[in-house]
Amino acid sequence: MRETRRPTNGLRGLAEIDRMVHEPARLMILVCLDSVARADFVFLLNATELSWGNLSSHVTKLEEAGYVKVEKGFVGKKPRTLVHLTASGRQAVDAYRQTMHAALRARRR
Amino acid sequence: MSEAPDLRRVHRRTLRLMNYEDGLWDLLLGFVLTLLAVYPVTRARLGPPLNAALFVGVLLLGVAAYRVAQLRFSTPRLGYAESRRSPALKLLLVITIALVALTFGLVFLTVAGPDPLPNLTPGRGPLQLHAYLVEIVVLLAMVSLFGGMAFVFGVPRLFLYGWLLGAGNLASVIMNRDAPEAFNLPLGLAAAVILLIGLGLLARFIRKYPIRSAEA
Repeated sequence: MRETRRPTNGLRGLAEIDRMVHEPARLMILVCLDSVARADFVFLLNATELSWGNLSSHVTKLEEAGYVKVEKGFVGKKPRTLVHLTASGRQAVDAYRQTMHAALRARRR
Repeated sequence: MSEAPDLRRVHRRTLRLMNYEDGLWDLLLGFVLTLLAVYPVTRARLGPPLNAALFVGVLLLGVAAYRVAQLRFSTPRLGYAESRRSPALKLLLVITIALVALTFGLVFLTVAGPDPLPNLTPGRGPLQLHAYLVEIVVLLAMVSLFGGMAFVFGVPRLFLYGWLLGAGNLASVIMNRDAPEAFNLPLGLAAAVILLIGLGLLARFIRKYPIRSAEA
């Protein structure tokens, strides 16, 4: 599990930004999961508009980093993969948002 | 994927997909308005107690049909997602439910009440604003509520719905002053517009989101 980085102030924070979160496709997945309690793969595909392979590979990376949890199950006879943010994943998204806001504020000054 | 995503847009898109993409919510709203539009006619034929029971029964059936359609029809195409109940969302939900209940309650009282006619001063014409104070409050509440929802969820048509509902209610009180047992035309027209939009969205939804095969 990765150590969640604390937000740092100003433009200097950008140098220490969490690259696991910063990658655009993963960022979309995390923001989407931050808006819901949990979602299945089909919903994530529609919400992020990524391809199945792309989504699967990024979710695996996020799972390895400990930011999301993947639960495989069945609805009737159909398989369903549910994904949700872990506590450290939610913390990482919040920290990323704060760092980016701080950097944007610093640039405007 | 090289472009930086707009986080607010992704968040709004997620919320929109969960509630407003398939047009079913619009169809439910149109259905409720249709019930309100025919309410005066059925009340005249069935009597107030039986008509109220029929209204509630059909309304519950409509809500049940909406839930079934979501599970059987929308979820296989759009996927499954559970709403996150954050404290901010809970507060928003409580405010929304309170406003919707208040507004629909006022609309219901206006349409179904024993004396739907506002007290007009004789000889001053029908357009006396003070006599329609409740309806004007409903109009403002509807526009605020639906406008807020349109902004939060990024669904501009909700703003139109706010105007349709509020103005429809006001117009129905003005137009049906002399015929309280007639079909409520303004609400019926609002319902027709919303139902048409809902059907259009549903047709687009079916084309855009085919049923996906079992997960890889």
